[in-house]
Formats: sequence, C-alpha cells, structure tokens
Amino acid sequence: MFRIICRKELLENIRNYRFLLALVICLVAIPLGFTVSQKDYADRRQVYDDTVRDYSESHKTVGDIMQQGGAAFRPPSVLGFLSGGVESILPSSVETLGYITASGANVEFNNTRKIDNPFMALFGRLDLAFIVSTVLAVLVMIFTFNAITGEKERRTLSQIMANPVSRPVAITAKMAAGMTLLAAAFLTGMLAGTLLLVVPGLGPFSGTKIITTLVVGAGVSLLFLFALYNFGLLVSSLTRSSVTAMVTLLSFWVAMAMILPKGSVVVAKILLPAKSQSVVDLEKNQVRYQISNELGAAIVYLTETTPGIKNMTTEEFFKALKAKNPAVEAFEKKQGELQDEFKAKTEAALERIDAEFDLHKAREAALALNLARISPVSCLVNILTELAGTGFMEEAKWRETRTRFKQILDREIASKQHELGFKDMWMSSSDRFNAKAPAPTVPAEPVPLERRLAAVWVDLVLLAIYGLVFFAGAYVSFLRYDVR
Amino acid sequence: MTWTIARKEIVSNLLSYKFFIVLLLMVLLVATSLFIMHRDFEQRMADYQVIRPKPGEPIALVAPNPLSIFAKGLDDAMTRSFEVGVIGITVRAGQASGNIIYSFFPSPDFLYVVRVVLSLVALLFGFDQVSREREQGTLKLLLGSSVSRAKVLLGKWVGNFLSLATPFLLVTLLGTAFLSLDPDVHFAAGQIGRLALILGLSLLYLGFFLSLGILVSTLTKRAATSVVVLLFLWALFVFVIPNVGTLVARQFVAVPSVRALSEKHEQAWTREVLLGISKGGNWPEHMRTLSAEDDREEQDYRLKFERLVRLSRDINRVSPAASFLDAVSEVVGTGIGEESRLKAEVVRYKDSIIDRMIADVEAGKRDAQYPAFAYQPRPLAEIFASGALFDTAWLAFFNILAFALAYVAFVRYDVR
Repeated sequence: MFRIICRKELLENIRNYRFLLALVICLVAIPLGFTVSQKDYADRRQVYDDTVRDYSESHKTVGDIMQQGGAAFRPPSVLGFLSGGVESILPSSVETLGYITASGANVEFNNTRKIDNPFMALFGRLDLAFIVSTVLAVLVMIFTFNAITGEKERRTLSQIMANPVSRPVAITAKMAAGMTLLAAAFLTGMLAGTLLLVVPGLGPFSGTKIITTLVVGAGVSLLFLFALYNFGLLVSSLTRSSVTAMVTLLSFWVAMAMILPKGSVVVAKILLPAKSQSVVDLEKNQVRYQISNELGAAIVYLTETTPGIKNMTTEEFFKALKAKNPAVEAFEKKQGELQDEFKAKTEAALERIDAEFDLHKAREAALALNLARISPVSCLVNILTELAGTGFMEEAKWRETRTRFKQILDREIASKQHELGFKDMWMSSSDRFNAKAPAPTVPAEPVPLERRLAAVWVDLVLLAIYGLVFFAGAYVSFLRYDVR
Repeated sequence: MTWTIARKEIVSNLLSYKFFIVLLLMVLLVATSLFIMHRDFEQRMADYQVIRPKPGEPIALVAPNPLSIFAKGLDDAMTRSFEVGVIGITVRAGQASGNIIYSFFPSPDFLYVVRVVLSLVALLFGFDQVSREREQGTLKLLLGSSVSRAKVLLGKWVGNFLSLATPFLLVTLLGTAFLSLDPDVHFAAGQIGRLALILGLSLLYLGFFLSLGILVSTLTKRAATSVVVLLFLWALFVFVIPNVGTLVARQFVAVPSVRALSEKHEQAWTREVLLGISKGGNWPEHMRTLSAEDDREEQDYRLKFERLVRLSRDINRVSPAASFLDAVSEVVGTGIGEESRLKAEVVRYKDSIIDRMIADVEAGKRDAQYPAFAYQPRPLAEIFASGALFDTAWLAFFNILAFALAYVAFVRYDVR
C-alpha cells in the first residue's frame, strides 16, 4: 500500500505541474545564482590577483617593506556562491601603518573599500543559502500546504483511509513521494549549476575540494528541505482548510527566515551588550598614554640616578656613546631594558583589552547564534556560510593572520632594525645586508572542510532533529485527524 | 452593486481566519523590520558621530539618511568617508563599531518586506477569488443576478485591496509614528512627503500582485493550480528577472573595475613624479595635472557605469518588482542615482579645494582649514525626471494591464 500511495502522490504532483514548477525554478534560479556569484567572484579575484602581483613586484626585500609598509591580502572566497556571509564587510587586507620601527610594527586591517557592484547591494545576493531558504522554502510550502487539507477538501482522504492502509503508512508515503520529487528537482538544478562552474571551458572552478564542499552543501540543503517539508505536513495536518494552511505556513516561514535570525541579534545585544569599537579604542589610547608617561618618568629617574649622565648634554651623550664610554653604554643598555619592559607591559595591557573585547563580542555572537538556531533557516545559513569560508571562522582566521603578520614583521624586520642600532638604514648601504633579505609573506591558508564541519555540527544535528520532530508532529497530528 | 460586492469581500475577509493571520503577520513583520532597521540606523549614527570630520578637515562625509530605515539601498556606501588629499580621494569604510554578528543575518527593511513578503500576501488574497467561488458554486449565483462581470471583478478587486491596504497603512503609519518619537530620527517635512510617496508606490505594487492573483485565478480551474502558477510568476518577477537583467547588461556594457581606475591613478602619479624629478619641475603643476587626469578617468568610468545602470534598469523593468525597488530607493535617496550624484559632488568638492590644498602643502602649512563638504540630496522633481516617474507610471500600467487581462479572462470564463 505504501508503494501505491507513493505512486499516486508522485503522479499527482507531476500532473498538477508542481514538479514541473519546482524543476523550472531550480533549473533557472540555481544556475543563475551560481553564475551571478561567479561573475562577482571573478571580478574580485581579478582585483586580488592584480593587487598581489603589484605588491610582490614592489615589495621584494625586507628593505622595501621597511620603506613602503607591508601588507597581506585576503583572497575572495571561491565558494561564495554557497553563501556570501559577511565577506563583503571583511577587510581585504592587513597592512602596516606608518614606518616599521624598532619598537615593532603597527598592523591594522585595511578598511579602504569601494563598492564595485551596487546591483548586488540593491537586489541582494542570489547565493545558494538565499535560494534554498527563500525561493525553495516557498516552493516547499506549495508542495505541502494542501497535502492533507486538500485531500480532505476534495473528499479523497476518507476514501484512501477506507482502504486497509494505516495512517503512518499514508503520511510516510506522502512525505517520501513529495521529498523525492523535490530532491530530484533540486539536485537537477544543483547539477546544472555545478556543471556551469566546473566543466572546463564553461566555468573557472576545478578540484575535488570544491566538488566535495558542493556535495556537502547540497546534502545540507536537502536536510533543510526535509525539515521544512515535514513542517508543511505538520501544519497541513493541523488545519482544516488549505488557505489557512498556506497562510499559516507563510507566517511561520516569515518568522523563521526574517524575524527570528535578526531578532535574536537584537535580543543578544540587549542581554549581553559588547562595548563599541570606539570605546575600546579610547581605552587603548588611555592605556598607551598612561604607560608612556610611566616610561618617561622611569627614564627621567634613571637619568637622574645614573652617575655622570644627569649633567650631560645630548651632544655629549652621543659623543660618549660613539666613543664607547662604558658608563654611557651601561645607561643605554638599562634604558633599552626599560623600553623593552614597558613595551611588553603596553602590549600585555592592550592584548588584555582586546582579549576582553573579543570575549564579550564572542559571547554576544554566541548568544545571538544560539537563539537564532530556533529557526532551521539560521542553521542552514550558518552551515553554508562556514562551508563557503565567508563566516565567523574566516573572520577569526583573519584576526589570527593579523597577529601572525605582526609577529613576522616584528621578528624579521623590527628586530633587524633594532640590531642595527643607530646606524642609518637609509643612508648607509653597507648595513643593508639585512634589508636585502627576501620580503616575508603570509600565505592565506584555507580552513580544511573537516574543521568547518566540526564548527557547525550543532546546526547539522539541529537540522536533523527539526526534520524528525516535525515529522513526528505531523504523524501524531495525522493520527488524530478527522478525515470526514 | 460594485460596492455591495466589495463590502461582501471585506466582510468575508474579516470573518476569515486567513485575514487574522495575515494581519498578525503584517504587524509582526512591519514592526520588527522598523525596529531592527531603527537600531541599525542608531548604530550608524553613533559611528557617524565618531568619524565625523573636525571643522576644517577636507573630508566629505554625509550622515545616515533617516529614510534608510525604510529602504537601506546603498546608504552604507554613501556614508563612507571620502578623504580629499593632494593625490586624490581616499574612500574609507568608516567606523567598524559592531560585532560581526550584526551583519551576519540580513536586515529586512520595509522595502524588502513589501517587495518579497507582502507581494506574496497580495497573491494569497487574489489567487482563489474566481476559482474558489466557482468550486463553491457561488459564482453561478452571483452572476445569475443582474450584475455585470466587470462590476463583479471590480468589486472583488476593491474589496480585497481595501482588506489588504487598510491594515498595511495602519501598521506602517503606527510604526512610523513610534519612530518619530526618537529625537535622532528626525523626519523633515520633505521626507514625510517622500514617505507618503513610498506608501503610494507600495500600494501600487501590491495592487499589481492582487490583480495578477485574480488574473491567474480566472485563467485556471482550480485554486491549487493557481497557486503553483502564481508562485512561479512571483519567483520570476522578484528574484529571477532583476538578476538576469543585470547579468545581460554586463555582457553588453564593459565597465572598467575600480581597481583598473586606481591603477591608472597610480600610473599617472608615477609619471608625474618621474617628470617632476627629471625636469626639476613645478610640483603644484604636476599635482594639478594629476587631479585633472583623475577627474577625466572618473568621469569616463561614471559615463560607462551609468550606461550599464540604464541598460540594466531597462531590462529589469520587465519585472514590476525591479521598477518598484528602483523607484522607492531613488525617492528615499539611497538609490544608484543618488549615489552617483554624491560621488560627483565629492569630485566637485575636491576640485574646489585642490588648488588651496596644493598651495598649503607647498608652503608646508600643517593645520590648514578647508570649507566643510555640504551635500543636498536631489529634489523630488529631479528624481522623478530621472526615472522614478517612469517607474511609477510603469507600475500603474502593470496594474491596469493585469486588471484588463483579468477582465477579458473573466468575461470568457465558464462559470459552470
């Protein structure tokens, strides 16, 4: 009997054009979304390649970096068509500000940005996360809104139930048939979109990693559609008329896709507010100012308590230093130690402020994400965004890159400059042996797929649970359904 | 008789469960959208206060537009700071004050809510207007009386439109009234007029989808088929055509990337520096040449870009959703036209101070003061002349067309 109901559902959906509609929408929207995103990626990749080329041509040695400043660039995500995420607001590079001095490099994210594609800003991104959570979600509503109520209205439900068929079998067959058709349409669209991207001559992408991520993305999308399909069945079995079911489904979809995700961010902001960047910058400046004053006072104290130094003029001091006067050299060494000590103190204090700020931001983000997980749409968006490398992990990786870049510059450049002491880097060519060393680079390392999946396991499990819970709800509600 | 039918539709809507869910949905959605966008606006205002140029600084920066709460459009791009220097204009994203989570989920502005969700709601009001009455057998009874089909159709349209428009207007006006309680959100008199225009355009847009619903309902025999066809048209109008139009336009009009533009600037800069060194030249003159060349390149870029925008808009106009989006974002002052105007004004500002700036740099003057950048958004007359009027008329035409086609289909409809 399961097969008979299944076949009946399949034929009905094919005959009433729903499958055709799903197929056309998937065949148009998915390849179109992939193409639009790919064009955007190609433009941004071109900019990235040109920038990196220019940089490597003009920054060949450590000396070049010392003169012109250093930078590390973030390549655009090749998988941005899965989900644009926060890529548009991520800084495109980390750069040094000002000269790299013996006290180290000042490395900041570069926020200089120009919007090249205002259409995308106006119409929104047509990435897979959007297509599945909006267009296909509405399609699922069309498949499910009258799955039970429609049969009741047409009085065919009582006829089906008059046969020796159990209700669990009937509802499972309905779900299996509908999901099969939906999955067939979706996978056809995905296949067409993928072919556009990966077939040589047609698209720019290749490699098993991209294909594997695409397959995982398709699987996650199917899991989401499964959850939503069961939710549709649940609503259809809880209502008495198709129109009511449709309107209820629409309301829940709006709540899941638009209200809950953004609402959770607002709630998190109210419950666990993080300081704003400007307040943190102000705090950091105060700390810098305070420690610099302390250092000044310590140097004054040192000068006044070191015999022979107190009454020296600057000119006499430098003469004595050049003449390698032991007292002056000892003073210079102590002063260096003091500077190192206060530099370490400043860095520790700034790191503490940054760490505290990051912790508060992370707590706020975690609360928002956890609240948003009430909606399957948020789970889907989070998974696809991390798979695409345009989400929180990417942002964390960039912050890590900034730290690493600073360490490299401090180690390879600032320390060398320190070693050279007072010898003028720019005037004396004989001391440039260090500056001629090849310029350090910071390679962009992609986060492996396993790590990305590990970061979103909660969302994956939740999606599966939603699917099962909604199906269980639909099953129970159908058991109690009055078929007359 | 038309009014009687309209009243019957209103009463039947009021008595239906559907109406209350839709009402709830509208209240929730519009209120949430305005609340979220209001907070977003407050955040951007706080950022603006931080990066606001000090008196005399040659920085062009405009404050966030309060109407961007309704249609954010390109407001983020427009509120970046444009720092003017002797070697050109540097664009900065401004203060990154927030947590990355704030940008993770898209903010549904009022424009998005109307364009995507309320269009679906309007379709739901229209999808079964004729087919349901036929299925229930009431259509025969209705047409059995001495009422013309035109009046029946008009009555249905008016009744359903009022059922949809009244709660929509009430909720939006209430939300706007709450917004205006915040002293930071100060709507000027002109902006209230623009708000009324946005509401008018929204009603035109929703009216079209209602007519489309009724049209498909008269062309199909069953409400379920009608839903399937309407969903297809909705996806086509709202998502597919606007993206296809832009994609196609980009095949025909090649616009150099911003990167290519900055490369040309760097080439010109290097050339002028080399010329300056080799000929022991007049630095102010080289700087002026560089500025003039930058302006030429920028103008060439804008011309090509505007050609792309025009073509893309013309193709996209096949969809009323694209016309609606263009018209509303331009009326609000966050559209592509306004952004282009702002950039042109920034270039003009640079040109007005560049000579003084070069002279100050040459004289080694460190704390030179420059006049502040002042930007006046385009007046409505100019916005309408540059396309919004056409889009409004186009939306009205779509309404009339859909209703006329629905009438023709209804006249030929077999009510048995």
